[in-house]
Amino acid sequence: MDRMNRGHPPADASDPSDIAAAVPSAVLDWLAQTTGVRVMPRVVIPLDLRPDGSFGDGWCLLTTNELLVVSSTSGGYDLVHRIPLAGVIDLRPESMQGCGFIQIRWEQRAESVARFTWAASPNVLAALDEANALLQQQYPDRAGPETDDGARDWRRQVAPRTDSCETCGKPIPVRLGVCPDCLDRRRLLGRLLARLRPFRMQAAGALMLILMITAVEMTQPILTMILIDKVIPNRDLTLFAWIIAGIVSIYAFSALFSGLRAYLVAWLGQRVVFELRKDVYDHLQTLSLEFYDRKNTGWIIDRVTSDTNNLQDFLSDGFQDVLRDIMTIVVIIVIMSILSPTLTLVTFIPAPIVIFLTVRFIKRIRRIFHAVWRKRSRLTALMTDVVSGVRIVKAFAQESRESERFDTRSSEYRDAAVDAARTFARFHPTTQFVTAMGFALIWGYGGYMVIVGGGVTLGTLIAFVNYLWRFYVPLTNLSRLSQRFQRATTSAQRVFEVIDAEPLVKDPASGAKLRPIDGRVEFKNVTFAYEPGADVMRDVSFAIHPGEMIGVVGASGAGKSTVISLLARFYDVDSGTIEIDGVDVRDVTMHSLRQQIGMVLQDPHLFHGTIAENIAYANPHATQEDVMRAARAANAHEFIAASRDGYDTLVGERGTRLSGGERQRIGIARAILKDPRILILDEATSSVDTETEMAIREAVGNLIRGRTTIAIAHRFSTLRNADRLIVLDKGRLLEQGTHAELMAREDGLFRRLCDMQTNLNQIVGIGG
Amino acid sequence: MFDSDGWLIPDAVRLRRLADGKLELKVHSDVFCDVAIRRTFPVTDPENYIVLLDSRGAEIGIVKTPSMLRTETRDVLEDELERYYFTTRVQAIQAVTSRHGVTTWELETDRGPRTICLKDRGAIRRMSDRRIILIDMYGIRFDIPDTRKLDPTSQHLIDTET
Repeated sequence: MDRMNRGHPPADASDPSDIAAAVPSAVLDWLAQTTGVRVMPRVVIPLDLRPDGSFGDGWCLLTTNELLVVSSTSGGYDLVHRIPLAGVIDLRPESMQGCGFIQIRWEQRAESVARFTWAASPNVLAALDEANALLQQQYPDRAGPETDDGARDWRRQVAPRTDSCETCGKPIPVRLGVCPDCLDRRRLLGRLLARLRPFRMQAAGALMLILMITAVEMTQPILTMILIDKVIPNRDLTLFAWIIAGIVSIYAFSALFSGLRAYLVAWLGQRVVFELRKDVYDHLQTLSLEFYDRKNTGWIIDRVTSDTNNLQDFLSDGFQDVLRDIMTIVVIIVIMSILSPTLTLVTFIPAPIVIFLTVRFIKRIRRIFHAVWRKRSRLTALMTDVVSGVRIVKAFAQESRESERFDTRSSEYRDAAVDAARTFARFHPTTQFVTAMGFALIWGYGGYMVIVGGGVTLGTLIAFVNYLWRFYVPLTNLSRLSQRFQRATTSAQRVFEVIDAEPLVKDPASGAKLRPIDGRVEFKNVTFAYEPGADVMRDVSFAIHPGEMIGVVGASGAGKSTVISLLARFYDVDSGTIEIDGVDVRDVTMHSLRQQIGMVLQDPHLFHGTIAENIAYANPHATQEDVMRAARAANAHEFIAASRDGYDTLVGERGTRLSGGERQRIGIARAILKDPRILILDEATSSVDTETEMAIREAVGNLIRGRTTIAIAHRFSTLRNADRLIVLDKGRLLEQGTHAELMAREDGLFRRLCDMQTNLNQIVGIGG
Repeated sequence: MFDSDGWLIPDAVRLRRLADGKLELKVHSDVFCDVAIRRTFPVTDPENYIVLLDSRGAEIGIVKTPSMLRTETRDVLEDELERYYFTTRVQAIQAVTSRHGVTTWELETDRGPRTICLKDRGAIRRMSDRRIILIDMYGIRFDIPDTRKLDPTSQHLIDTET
């Protein structure tokens, strides 16, 4: 049985025979023999540990009235527990380090009846749910189980396994990002080649050229053969001139058309990949934020740049190399067999050995090189660690110990490198020798045939030697084929994964637009989770009147940022609705919705460009005066105007570095210029000096005037301006009211948070 | 309840498992329900310096050498540690195969044979020059206390894979 990935009955298996299938029939037979009754399990919980803690299969079986725990032993089975279900409250998982237990609970007592490793926990947890549902069904009037926070947290931890393959359960290599065993490589290759379709004429032309060039190049040894066999012995000068002319024209032809082929193939590769890159990037723009949450920035950038590059390599170089290599080998074998079948057979005796050796060598040397490489990076890591901590080393007088540690790792690296050299020294000459033996065989057997007159001429022999030279290069190339092919299909899979990703948040089919709004916002019973099972917002309702400013308060992780993300429809609610002026945000296009929402985020991202361009990001056609007016209102005008390049100062990547306070004010100016009806304000957590804070507060004051504002504030002083506050705690709306109202609640969360911050400020005040 | 060095006095500590599966700790007249027992050096000294935590995770005290405890208490303590920490000792490595950085290890352990999958090299923790801990894709730990005490094949596999 597969120890790494055990089967589990599908969650919806209601047919008793399906459930029983999760237990080997031998176990049920054995149970029937031991207990005298044929057991019909309703729920099967698969275990992977025996009671003594050793690895081995076990089954926790629930029938309608009993719980049986059966464990495999070296020779058979063992009935570990047999417990009547009457009076049982529930079965709950106990989470330990690396393992877990199934605990059976009664009114007054509890017992751990089975143990399993974390490898089995997803299956066990799912089966426990079924078991408890069965208990509920069998004994509806039993004492109700209380909620179990520990078990819920554990469940959340094991539930989403994004790092193992959904199909086969094996871990997905971090380096690949896709499961190499579940790729349909042929389909992927087909899909990739289908992208050549718009260029099929050019592709056909390139293919023709490749075939022609190979064919023509292969005739050269034949001409040499004629030269040796016919021309030189007969001193035939006319034919001699023709042969030389032939050889010259072959080289001329191949030079001319190779250039054309190289150009055509590169052109094709670039065209196809240009289209692919465009498709990927365009599609990325349409994807919801949820996609960007799942994949990190580096991953996404790699898909557009390095993967499409890999594919271009494959389409231009790899693909034509493969065709040419195969073509060359086929042509050589055909010509040789026509010239002399026996000599051909002799010639190719070493070929399988060469292929075998090359493939083996590549595999083995790669492994050894990896080991060398890892040892070297361990050595480098140690050095980086110690050199950057040299003050500590010296201060604690540990120089000699560090030298010793370095010696150990350095010698490990040396040994690995020597090992690699040994492998190289052994394998390389071997392949060379085997290849050389091929030539020795031709010369030996062929030469003997020539001397005794066995039907092989000297010209044929020379032609064979000639062909053999041309034979080994494509042969070794082809032994690397699978590697190339794998790299290309893996890249193709990753690229197509992006192209195939569906945006979760979609525009309504009607294409209705949000009309200019007054700015009334209402959350109605909103529930939302980024990942299933882990609600970050539960049944939250509140309303904001046009022009009102609301402050959202709560500890980190309380769901404050989620309010913003849902209002701007970066995500869709799981249940409930969000309405603006009575219109569900899902009923209008995202474009029309976001046009009327302005955002100042914690760390406003500045794009590469001038300050003016950044302020006018929402509207590139804004006039210089618009930009300046916005900057003035945002209290940003002064520092901009004072700088060397004014509004033309380059910022963003490789541009001038602005301070946090300056960036925030540019962010505010950006929102002011957009002039939205609804404003979202996510106050920066980073602290700025008092003067800057005053400037920012004034800017915010200008910004919120007359707009519906939702502010997430981390400083309570900012919230004084808010008309009303809502307090979130663990995704629930806990309190709402004015600042004074909330402060009046003695035991309120807001009051507590406020007091805490006041204390903190006092400490800082004393310290600073 | 503490000795002059601040450790719990072994004679004063009484642990028992209640019917509901939870642990009860009595130190003199103080009674703590639902205590947790943890190792402070789970790898380098799993036997000693055992910390006792109350139901909210706050420290009650540390037992320096559990062997000095009363027999019944020591049994409960050792049983709970055995339940909580699931570690497996590797006795031999049969084979290692590698695909795209994911390695599959066929092991002989004190809990019987087991094949494990390591997600990447980060799953191989070098605790010292001799000691290695492998963490499989599920987070289960496999301890190799001293690589040099393994047979030559296992040692060679470790050398090329780590």
